[in-house]
Order: sequence, then structure tokens, then C-alpha cells
Amino acid sequence: MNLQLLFSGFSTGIIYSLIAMGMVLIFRSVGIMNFAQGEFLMFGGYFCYMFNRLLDLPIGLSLILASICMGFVGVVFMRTSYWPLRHAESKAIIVSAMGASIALKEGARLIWGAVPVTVDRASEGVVNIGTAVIMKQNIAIIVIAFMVMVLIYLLLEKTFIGNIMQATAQDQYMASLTGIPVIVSIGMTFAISAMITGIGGGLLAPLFFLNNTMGTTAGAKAFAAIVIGGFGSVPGAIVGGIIVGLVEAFGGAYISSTYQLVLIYVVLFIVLMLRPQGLFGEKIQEKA
Amino acid sequence: MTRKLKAVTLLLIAMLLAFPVFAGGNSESSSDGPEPIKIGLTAVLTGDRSLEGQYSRRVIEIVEEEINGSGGVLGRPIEIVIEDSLGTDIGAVNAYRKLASDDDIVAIITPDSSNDGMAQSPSALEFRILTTAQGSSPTLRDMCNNDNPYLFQIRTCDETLCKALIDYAYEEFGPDAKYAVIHDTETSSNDQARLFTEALQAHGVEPLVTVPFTTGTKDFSSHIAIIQQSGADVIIAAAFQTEAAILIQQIRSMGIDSPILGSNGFADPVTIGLAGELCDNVYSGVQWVPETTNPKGAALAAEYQERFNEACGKSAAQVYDNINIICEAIRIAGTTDREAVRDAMSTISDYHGAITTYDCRTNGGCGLGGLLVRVTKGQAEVLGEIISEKDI
Repeated sequence: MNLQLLFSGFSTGIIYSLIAMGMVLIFRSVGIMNFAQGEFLMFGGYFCYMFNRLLDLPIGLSLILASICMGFVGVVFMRTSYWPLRHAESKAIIVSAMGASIALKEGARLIWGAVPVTVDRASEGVVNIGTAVIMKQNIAIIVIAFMVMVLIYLLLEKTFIGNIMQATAQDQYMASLTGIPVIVSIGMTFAISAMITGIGGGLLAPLFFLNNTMGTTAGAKAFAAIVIGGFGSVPGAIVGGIIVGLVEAFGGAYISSTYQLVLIYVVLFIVLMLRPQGLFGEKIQEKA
Repeated sequence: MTRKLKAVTLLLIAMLLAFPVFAGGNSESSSDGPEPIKIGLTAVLTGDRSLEGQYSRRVIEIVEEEINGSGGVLGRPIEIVIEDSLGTDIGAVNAYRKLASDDDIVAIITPDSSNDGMAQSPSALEFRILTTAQGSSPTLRDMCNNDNPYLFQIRTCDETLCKALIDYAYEEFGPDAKYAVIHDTETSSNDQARLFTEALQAHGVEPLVTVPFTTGTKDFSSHIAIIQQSGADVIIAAAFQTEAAILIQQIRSMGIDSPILGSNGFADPVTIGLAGELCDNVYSGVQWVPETTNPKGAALAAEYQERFNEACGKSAAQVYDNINIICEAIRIAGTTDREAVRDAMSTISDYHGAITTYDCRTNGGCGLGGLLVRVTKGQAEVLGEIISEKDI
């Protein structure tokens, strides 16, 4: 049972990590928490459904195409929900993101309907390890999500584009003085954020099915993951997501199946008590 | 820029000029024939439960065509006015009050959720307007019977369906079968789980374990692990369609092929569409499946499928029956006076709908029956009809 819980908790957790990573990239870039990130998950899933089930393409190709589409969605989201308000107070941008979240949910319902749908699995069947039965899709989720994380690391740390994005994230004004096109850089950040979250949607769809509200709870859990891992920390988002997934699985089995969500927030509360900056966050002190 | 502004201004003026022409066109055509009889429908058009709204909107197209094509009611066409209840009790009340404030609305249909219907009940009393409730909970039934003469539950009460399913299972799986219960904690699934448990207890059987989960749960591995450890060989489950499909898929993926006795959602076309043949060996006591043996229901299911290329869901069949039964009450009353229509509703004792037969002589549990189904090879197979009688 424990092994089974470990795998399912880890695979769900790593999806929370992908969403949280996307949120952190945007947070680092523009200093705003994107409360519509869960909807990127849902939209990614629907794009995957469109390619896989409506256009009959294989699931691997569908995931890649869905991810590309999500890149465009990310850019459009940035141009409509963030860019016009970039000089406004952060509250205004947060409200704008919340509004966009509703628009994306209802937009998905208008485009793809209200009937829940699914997509093919990346890997069919189960693997028996001892008494545990583990779905191959769970293993596929872990492998693909890990590959995506490695790619994002390489992109951010080892490429010129990554350097541009990091420079813009550190200081937009200075970046613009050095000739970096800030709008392009921020647009790329939103695009990558939407792409990695969207892949999560395609991977989760065969297990949890797709409807227009699938991103809401996942987005809330990803936010908890960020707080646990530390605001602005990519490794923190990854570890935080996995912790949330594992707490959900083991807490549900051993403490309370009803209060899984509460257990996540208990862990969050404990982390905030003991380490307010999160597990990987840096301590920030204000001068007196 | 100025040229653009001019163009936009001209366009706006043109639209403003055109609008009264179109509006006038509509009113002119409506003044040609008799004024329509308006029936209000509060349904979830947006948000979490918007599938209900999709079914409702589509079936309205069918029912309006059917009734108006055969001469309407009292020689007048009917018109269904739909308001979004947003899937919340506050939204349901606001939508209801908006409809009830329109004096032309003769009767109002509540959303599918019992909670929403109960929230709308005080407004029905205040506006003194016939209100048909789509919810199936026993609490709603008691409210209809005891507290609100304007509220009629046009649905078979869950108590009847849950008991029938457990009685069947007790016979089928024998007195030694061991049961585990898993259910969503939202009100109706919680109620259904309680009714299943009470029906089991009436046979002297206690479930080995009861595992609740919160609405929106997607990963059931911990819940299923608890059931596996309990040693149960029959699983009783209560949840809505998406959670039902996920649950079935995860139970089967973990190698458990035990029979699942499920609430309405487990034999729903959406659930079967998602989980496919993994739904095999699922049993349910349901109001409706498109494979119904009811001739009127089968005709509706076929028409819906043909028109929308989609299986007819429970909400569609419910709205269909609610509209038809309200029209029947208006016919009996011979007028659209709200009080007269309400009184007429109380005289309906044997109305054959698409789902079941309705007896409205008492307000609660007007639906008398349902279907006992088993899913085989990804298809709902009707095992028998559930028929109850009313104590008048």
C-alpha cells in the first residue's frame, strides 16, 4: 500500500510542481502571482484532447502540439491581462488574472462544451511491484515531467534566451537599457510558463478527465506548494509540489480521507511557523 | 484616427437605427399570434455544473418544438425563459426571484440540485408560484410535503432508488457479502451514502468501512487503499459523474473487479463515456438512462441523440418531464393564473413522463419509479423497473 501511495502521490505531486514552476517563473519575471495558472493546466489538457481525440493524432505528438498552442495562449494572456496593467498596482494585476481565470474557464466551456472528456494515455497498463499496482501512466507522468524540468533548467541556465529572461526578471529597467526587448522577454516567460503547465494538463487528462474547472483546485494546491517551497524558488516549487502530492496521498490514507486539503494547509502552516521564507526561499529582512 | 472614429460613430448610429427595426419586427410577429405562456427554468449555465445547463438548453429546443408543434397549451405557444443559477444557492435564489418577478411567468423549475431547490423554497412561498423541484433528496421531499404547498418534487426520491438497489444486491450477492461505502461529502451524495447504509442495516448488514472524500478529489489511491485493506467484496459509492468515472477507473486499475453499487452518476452516459468498459459490473438504481424501457423516454433519447449527436443525460430528461407536467397542470387549470395552476398540479395522479409516472397528490416524491441497471460491455443494461406507491 505504501509503495502505491508513494507513486500516486509523487506523480500527482509532480504535476503540482509543473504548475507551481510556471507560477514561479511568472512571479520571478513580473513579481505577480498568476492566479489563472490552474486554467493553463485545463487549457493544455483541452488542446491535447483536440489533437488526440478530435484530430486523431498520437498522444506524444498531441502533447507537443498542445504545448506549442499553450505558448501562444501564454503570450496572449500576457498581452491582455498583464501588459496593459504593468504600471498599475499589483492588486489590479491580480484581479485581472482572476478575471482572466473566469474567462478562460467559461471560454473552454464554450469551445469544448461542458461534457467531461479524456485523452489517450502516454502509457497503457499497470506494473505490479510486490502487492502494489502502479499505473504506467503515473510512471510516464513522472518521467515526462522530470524531462520538462531538466529542459527548463537548461533553457534558463545554459542558453542566451534564458539569460535574457533572467536579466529581465532581475531588473526590467536595466535590461531595457542594455537593449533587451523587455516585452519579448516577458512574453517568452509567460509562454514557457503556460507550456509547462499545459503539458501537465495533457498528462493528467487520462487519469482525472477534463472539464473546464479542473484547474481550480490544482492551482490552489500549486500555490500551497510555492509557499511551502519558498516564493520565487524553482527548486522550491518542485519540492513543494511533491510534498503536497505525498501529504495528500499518505494523509488521506492514514489520517483523514475527508480532510486531505486541510492536511496540506496544516503542513503549509507548520512550514510557515518554522521557516517563513519556505524551504528554499531566501530570508528577506526589512531595514528598521 | 479621426477617420476611424467617424467610421465607428457611423457604425454605432447604424446599429442604433437598425435595432428598433429588428425589435419592432419581433414584437410585430409576436402580436400576430397569441402571447406565449412563459415557464421559468433556473439551471446551471456557467461554472462547475454547467453540463446541466447544456442538457437543459438542448432539451428545451425539443420540448418547445413538440408542444408548440401540436398546438401549444390552451391554444398558446409555450416559451421557456432560462436563468443562470450559477451552481450556487445564492445564484439559484437570485435567478428564481428574477423570474418570479415577471408576472407572465406561470411556473418555475428549480435546478437539479436539491440544495438549490431548498434555497428557492422561501421565494416560492413569497411569490406564491408553482415551483417544480428537480432534486431527489428526502429532505427536499419532506420540505415539499410539510412546509411549502407551492413546491413539488417532480422526481423519484433517492430513498426509493437506494433501497431498491440494496435490496437487489442483498439478493444477488447473498447475506455474507461484505460492503464498503465511499462517497462524496457534498449534500446529495452524503444523503445517498446514508440511505445505502440504512438500507443495508435494515438487512442486518453493517458496512466494514465508510470512506468519505471531498468534492473535487481526483486522486483516490488513499481511499481505495483503505477499502482494499477492509476486505470488502462489494463497493457502494455515491458521487457525481466525473468523480464516479475517476473512481471507477482507479478502482479497476488497482486490480479490484468487485461489483460497484453506485448512485445515479455511476450509470450516467457521461460516466460510461469516460470510463468505458471499466464500468462493467457497476450496478445502479437510477432515475434515467438513455437505454430506458419507457417508450416516451426512449423516443426522447433517440430524438436527442439524432439532433445533438450526444446521449441524452438525466438533466435533459428531467427538464423535459418538468415542462410537460407543468403544461399538463395549465391545461387542467384552463388558465395561466398562478394559484389555479398550483391547485391543478395537486390533482395530477397518473402522469406518464419520459422518466417515470408521476403522482402529485402529495408534493414530495411525485416520481414513482426508476430503473435498476447494470453496466455490461460499456452499455447500461436495464435489469428491471423500480416501482413505488404513494401513501395518500
